[in-house]
Amino acid sequence: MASKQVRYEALVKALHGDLYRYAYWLVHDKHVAEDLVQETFLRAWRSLDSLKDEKAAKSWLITILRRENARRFERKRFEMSEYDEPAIIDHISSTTEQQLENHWLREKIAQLPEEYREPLVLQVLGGYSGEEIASQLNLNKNTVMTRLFRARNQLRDAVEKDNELKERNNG
Amino acid sequence: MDELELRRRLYANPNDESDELAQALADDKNSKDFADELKRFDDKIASALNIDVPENLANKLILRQSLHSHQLTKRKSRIHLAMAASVAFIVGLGVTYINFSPAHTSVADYSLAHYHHEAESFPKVASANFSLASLNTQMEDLNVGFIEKVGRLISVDGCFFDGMSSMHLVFEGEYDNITVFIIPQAEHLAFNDKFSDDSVQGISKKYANGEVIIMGDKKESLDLWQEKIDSSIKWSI
Repeated sequence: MASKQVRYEALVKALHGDLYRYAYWLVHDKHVAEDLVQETFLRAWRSLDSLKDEKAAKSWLITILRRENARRFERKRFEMSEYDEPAIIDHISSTTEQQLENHWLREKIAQLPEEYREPLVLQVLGGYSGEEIASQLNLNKNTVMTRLFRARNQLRDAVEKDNELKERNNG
Repeated sequence: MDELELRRRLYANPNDESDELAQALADDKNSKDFADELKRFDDKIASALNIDVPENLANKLILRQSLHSHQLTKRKSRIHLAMAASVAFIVGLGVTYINFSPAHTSVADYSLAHYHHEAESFPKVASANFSLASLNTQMEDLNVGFIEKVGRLISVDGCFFDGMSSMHLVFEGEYDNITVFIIPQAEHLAFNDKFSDDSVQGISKKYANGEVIIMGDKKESLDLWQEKIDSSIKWSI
């Protein structure tokens, strides 16, 4: 029992941040993301014995979290607006340029279609390879690579449009 | 690798480290610059994705889990307590049932048990001459009597035969005492007309109002005793 507790706490400490960020980019809502992470870890606790390989822990938790998220939709069936404006707002006051840029990019990432955003988050935040993302999302690798391509392509387009806009305003 | 393929692969994964791509980048400065730019862009994406995690989230998760486990343990211990109570209750019922219900399933079982339990407590010879009248008086409760004496009586006593008010008669036998039980109808005991164990034999006969069980040494001719009793016994109801 004690060792299970120790394992659990180690798992929480090592992975709660990654999981929270993943949840956040899945649902765009800090509170929902936190709830999801809570549910995920609670489920993880119950079936902790089934986790044999600690290296697979992160993927295992992400799988649980995605399932929890799907369940949330089954429960509520509410229409999630594509992009929840107030939820994304960060503290912009007294921010550096870097933070401003982050904020701007966050909005653009949040506006990406979910099917493009999710592989991107897994790749950039999770550090997963194309094959790993494919198996996590139940897609084939080519589809994943195409979606990653489109995700970055759309973000680059957005940046360019923004730059053009700035130049026009300046000029 | 053509330009389009190169772009497609870099967009899909700016950190692609395959030899193929490295080769293509080494060949072309423009491509290399493009790749570097994409990598920088990816760093920005990474930094944007890297949102703040709520403070204390880890502690909350641990706390919630331990509260949850605690609830479970409490619920479990409540269930255990309830189970223990149930078991105690069943055991209580069982003990009561065993104590107050017939422990023997047949006349033979009980007779043998009763016989051996009291075997040593009777003298071997009749010490007093019981009159027929006094014997019959004692047996009145059972509504049974004898018309004439059936043997030399050592002892007569009311007794409980597996919970039933009965008569226990002990006569002098040829080899050892002859024990006679006169019991009311015993619905809950299986009837055995003949039975025995290592040292004792017994026979039993059913009457309309009861049963007579005769037991004695294996060498005794109990049939004679049964005939004598049968001709002399008289049930008053």
